Amino acid sequence: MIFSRNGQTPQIHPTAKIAASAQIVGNVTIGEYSFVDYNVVIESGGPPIHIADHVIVFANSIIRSVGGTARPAFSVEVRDHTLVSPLCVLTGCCIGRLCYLATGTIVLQGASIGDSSLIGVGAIVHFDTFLPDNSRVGLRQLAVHGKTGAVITSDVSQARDHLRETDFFAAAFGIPQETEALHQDVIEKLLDEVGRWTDQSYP
Amino acid sequence: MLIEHRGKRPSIHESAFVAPTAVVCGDVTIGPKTYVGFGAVVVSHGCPVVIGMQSIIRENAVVRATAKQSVRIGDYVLVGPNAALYGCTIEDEAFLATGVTIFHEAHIGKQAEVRINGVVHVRSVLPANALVPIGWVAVGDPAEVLPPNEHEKIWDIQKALNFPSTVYGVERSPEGRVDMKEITRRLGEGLAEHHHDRILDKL
Repeated sequence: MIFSRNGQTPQIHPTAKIAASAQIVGNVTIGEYSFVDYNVVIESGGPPIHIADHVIVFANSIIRSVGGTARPAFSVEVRDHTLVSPLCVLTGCCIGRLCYLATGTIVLQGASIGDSSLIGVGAIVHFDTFLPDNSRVGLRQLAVHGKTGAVITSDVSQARDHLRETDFFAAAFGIPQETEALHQDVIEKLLDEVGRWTDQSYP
Repeated sequence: MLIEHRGKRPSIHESAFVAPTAVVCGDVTIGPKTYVGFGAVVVSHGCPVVIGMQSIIRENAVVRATAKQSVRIGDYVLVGPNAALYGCTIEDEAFLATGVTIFHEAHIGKQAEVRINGVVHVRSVLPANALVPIGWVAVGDPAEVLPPNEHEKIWDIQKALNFPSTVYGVERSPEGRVDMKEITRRLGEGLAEHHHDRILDKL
């Protein structure tokens, strides 16, 4: 199903194959010979999503761009010949060409993965993390933003020490963390954003 | 949504339940009293998928047979939400929890348990009654069960199982790299078959 959102309709190259139950919403472009599998959701919350040529997105993956009205905007780019395995979640991030994202990879806002990188099963590339070309993130590892470049680790407490310094909520929602009303503010901003959407299924 | 793929239609027992937003595509057989939850995707890309009786495939799970590897799920099996099963065999009464990943040619023994986010690697054999704890990885034949931070131990066993050759039919270069252009080309050729899919009103 193809939906326009707030007057923006996905632009899909005629040679791309979109499975019947996939959902493509809003400001999305999909290039030549790319493949979007069953029950995939590619949803623009406003900022553009660009899926290049010869990209494969397997079943039940979710690709979203976010923000732009009440909070910072994060667009999405997935460059050519990259494989997105089933059950990946890509939010407001940039994935280079010739990358391999294994099953269940999660990539968050502002993260950027260089060309020819390999991200293992269930790995998390966290907010604002920059991975250069040919990066390797192992199975269930975390890649986080560090002062002198990305830190790739299996140690959750080490990752948390770095995450504390990056302040995810300030960057993603424009709200500094550790405030009393944090979650209420986040929810109010999200509901305000969703309330502005007028979706229309597109023939 | 039931799909005819490569001229093959799903065969679903009349007492089975397939949720309206689940996708069952191609050469798939579903036995009596089996349940396929909302958003699940069960696809044959050539080899058959056979699911026995009174098994449960939970929401958004992905079950996929490839051109070389069939899927066989026995009776009384539970596959949790967001699980991913590729070209593997699951014996009767196995328990696969939320978010597990079971790779190509893996074999899960009778009454074995893979707990939340567990991984069973390519060509790995998990014996009957074995247990993979939360987030751990089973690799080898018979499988060694390791925590995910033991990357080197996992890799020592996994290397010989040859993931790129088993899954994509391509060999690693001497430097350990894989050719993403070749992988996406091969996958793209198979996936182009989806252009001829037919959505079935009913069986």
